[in-house]
Amino acid sequence: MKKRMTGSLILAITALVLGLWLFTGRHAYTKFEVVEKVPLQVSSNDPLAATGFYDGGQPEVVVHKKSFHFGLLPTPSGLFDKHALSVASVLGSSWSLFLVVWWLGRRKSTVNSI
Amino acid sequence: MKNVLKTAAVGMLLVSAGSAFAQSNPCNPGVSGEGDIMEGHAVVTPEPNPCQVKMGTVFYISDPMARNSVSFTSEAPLEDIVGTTSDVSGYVVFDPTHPSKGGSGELVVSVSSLETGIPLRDRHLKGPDWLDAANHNAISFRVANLRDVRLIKQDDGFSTFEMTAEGPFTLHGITREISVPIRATYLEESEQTKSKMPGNLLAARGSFDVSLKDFGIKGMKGVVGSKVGESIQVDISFIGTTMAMNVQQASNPGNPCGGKKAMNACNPCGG
Repeated sequence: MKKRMTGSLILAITALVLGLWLFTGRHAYTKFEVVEKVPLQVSSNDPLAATGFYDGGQPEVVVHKKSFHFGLLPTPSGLFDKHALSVASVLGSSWSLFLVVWWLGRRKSTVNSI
Repeated sequence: MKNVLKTAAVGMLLVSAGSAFAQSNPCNPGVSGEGDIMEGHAVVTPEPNPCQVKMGTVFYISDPMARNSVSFTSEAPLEDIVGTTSDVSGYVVFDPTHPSKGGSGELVVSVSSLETGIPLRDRHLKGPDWLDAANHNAISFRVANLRDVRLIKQDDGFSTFEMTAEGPFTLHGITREISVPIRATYLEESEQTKSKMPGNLLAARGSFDVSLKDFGIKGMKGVVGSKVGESIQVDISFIGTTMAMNVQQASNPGNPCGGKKAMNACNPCGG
């Protein structure tokens, strides 16, 4: 029973972490701000709109904005940096803990049986 | 894990300055502007010399609202890296009524202002293995030649040109000649343009590729070429104005220049 609960818990954590990664855009690295190219929305009030300045393909603009993305890999600048959170770090530590607990449990059962 | 991050996360680079239209400076061939660009942490905004001012109209590139932009894109295994900076300064000397005369200019970007969205990656980017901001903080482009100028659209109040700017480009302490295709639009001051910036405006944008190895940028353990793309795409976009920033900011009763346009670097209050 206890093993089932532990197994269920670890599977739930795995699903939660992978879900968060998918939901926040499936980025490779955990980010709290992004720099990315997006299509430029030319406003009719833009004095350059009718000058041909933006002609020749879809114009793009680079934006730098606050945006959280849970990534596959961490990019911590220090031990307690929020960028340490990631799929790899959370699942890695969770599964490691689960395996240690499971192994200790098995060892205890083996000793008791003897 | 840390080493993997260092090699995989850092990439890039580059930036560059771009733009402008140039011609050899008759007052001092090969040198298009005054103001030495200091290495190290301080980056000095380049200014035109009096001879350049006589060749055309001076457009100052310095936007307190950070709308100018130089960005780069680099391929990497897990995700492409995009970096940007709005710390673009410089000038362009150009005569929109006589574009065949050419022009000159200089743009400077500071390495320390580059951002990619990940603080660790930014730190590596500016470190000694990549751009080395401590020793080579300024990235500059001095336009020395302008070719293939053609007017592509013109109407009341504006003229749009396409051209290729050539000149020495300095990155990581190494200088090489580059060519940058540019699209530029000259806008006469109007109520609509004042919403962007005072003065007559020159908007320019361009894009070109830079090879990291040509500028001695190898990354850690030769990652450039293996985990990081050897070539980086650089995009530039800026708006220059005939109104110098010190004149824009000095529109108060205490300043004798008021809101006058500064056309002559020798006489900031004159036109």
